Amino acid sequence: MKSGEERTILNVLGLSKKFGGLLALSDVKFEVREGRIIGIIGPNGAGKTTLFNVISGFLKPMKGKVMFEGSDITGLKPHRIAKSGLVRTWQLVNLIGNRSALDNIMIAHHLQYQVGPVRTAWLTPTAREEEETIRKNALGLMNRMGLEEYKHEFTSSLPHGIQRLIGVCMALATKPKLLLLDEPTAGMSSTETAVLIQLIREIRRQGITVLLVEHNMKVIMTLCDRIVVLNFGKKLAEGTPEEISKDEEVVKAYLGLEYKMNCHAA
Amino acid sequence: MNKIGNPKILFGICLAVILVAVPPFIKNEFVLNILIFIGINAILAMTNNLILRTGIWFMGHVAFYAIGAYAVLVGTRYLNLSYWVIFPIAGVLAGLMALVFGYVTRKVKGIPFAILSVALVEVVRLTIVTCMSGKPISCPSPDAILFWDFSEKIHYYYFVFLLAGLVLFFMHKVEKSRIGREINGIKENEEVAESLGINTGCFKVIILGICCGVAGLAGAVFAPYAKIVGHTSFTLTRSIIIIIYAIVGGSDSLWGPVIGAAFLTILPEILPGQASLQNIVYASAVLICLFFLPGGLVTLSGFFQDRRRPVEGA
Repeated sequence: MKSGEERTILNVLGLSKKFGGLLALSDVKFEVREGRIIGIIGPNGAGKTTLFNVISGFLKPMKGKVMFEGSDITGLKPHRIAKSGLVRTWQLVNLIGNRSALDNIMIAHHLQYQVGPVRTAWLTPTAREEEETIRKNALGLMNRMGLEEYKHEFTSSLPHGIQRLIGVCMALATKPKLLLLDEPTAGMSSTETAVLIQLIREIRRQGITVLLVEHNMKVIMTLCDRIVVLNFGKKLAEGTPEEISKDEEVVKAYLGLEYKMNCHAA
Repeated sequence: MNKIGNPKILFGICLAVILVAVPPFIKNEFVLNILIFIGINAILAMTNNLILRTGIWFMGHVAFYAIGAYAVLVGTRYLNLSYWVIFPIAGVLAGLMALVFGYVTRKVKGIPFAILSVALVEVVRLTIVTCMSGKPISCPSPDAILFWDFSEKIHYYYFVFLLAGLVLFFMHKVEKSRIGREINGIKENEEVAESLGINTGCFKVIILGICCGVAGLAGAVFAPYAKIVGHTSFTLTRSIIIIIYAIVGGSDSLWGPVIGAAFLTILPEILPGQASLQNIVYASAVLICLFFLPGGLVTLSGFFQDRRRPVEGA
């Protein structure tokens, strides 16, 4: 790794968030270097999704700041954050079900449209041209992800794993700099998971930084450069996969003894 | 690509020709009256439907219809302005008020928003009752343009027809462009739309503003046509019936609201018997339609359907 050139793309500074009496996040801080894959793990209810919601602007933090590419994005509207290049996917499959897969990807190209709404509504020649370009781009993206055969299917009728891939594809269509993937492999078969691992590697190769919440430890351990462990809203540990798998506290809170033994055996 | 060969465009042209050419020969005022109200109702149904399709639980369309109508009434009767000056102002005024309403209530979603918009209808109606003495007031006719002096129903007919045609054309354009897709996306999944960089709040308020502005224009046509305007034309029931037009016709289709408006405007006029009996038959007809045709009247013919399915090979 060319560590000399790496700059910090995301800096999470002491985030706290309370739901009623429950402290969902308490003073969470970590840094994400550009071009890395960072995993966030922790038991259920540890605050991983809350953390994602706060970073992507869907929740406002009680305390703390989120710095993205050097500027403060705390409390900005989600669409503004997405526009600046920080884009998330959703834990539940969230697609526009009564539209074709291609339409979904095209909606995700919203930020790439240059022609204004008035000329678009009037379908001027430039608007039509742009529509064609976007359609081609969307088809190209689906092609690269091997989703082309589903382009005319309604997304609600597609298998779960494919829907998730389309979800990732939609996030990629926004041309993000930092991609937040919320449990992308949940409910996926092992074949689909393998495809997704390849895909995330490919995303990194394109220079997109990835922040990954995941329960599948195999995915986390094979992909991530660094791992952040959350427990009861607090950061329990941070480090490389090896450091994390040896960390006593993490093993106790999340990984479990069995995992440690497997690791040592391997 | 041969555009004339497209059956849908051909249908539109044929319908337009019939609607332009035939009415001058209709000497029956009753029939013309129905046609004019179909036009006004179709405009209201189309614009309200676009708002609902954006995922806004909006039931206050009639409030902006009333604002348009009373803007014209006040402008022409009390301020002695020309109708053609006040007509665009009525639309802009209704649109601006909708923008303000949309902005103020931007954090309210779903059923609470529906209740707010119901309250808005009552607020506007009661304001009218308070400020305009509650009695029906006569509204002057529009000023003549050359020989077009609005002394006959047919003059209003062409005016409404032109306006409804423009609204339909606008709806068609919006639906064909990416805006139609994004509207659909916002309704289905606002958070996802937002996370893809779409400014959903702004989008919804602007749609509300434009559509309510057009409702204001419809009101501005209604006021001089009805000649006597009273608050009883702008009740919540009317607002709900506007929504019913779109649902009975088919809210997912371009022609749905128009067909629904036509069907439900004609229906009570041709029903025999007393008013109370008519209402029962009317309501039953609506129920039967909704029960057997949940997708609306448009589902009777495949012709108007499936505009969302992408064209093969496109």
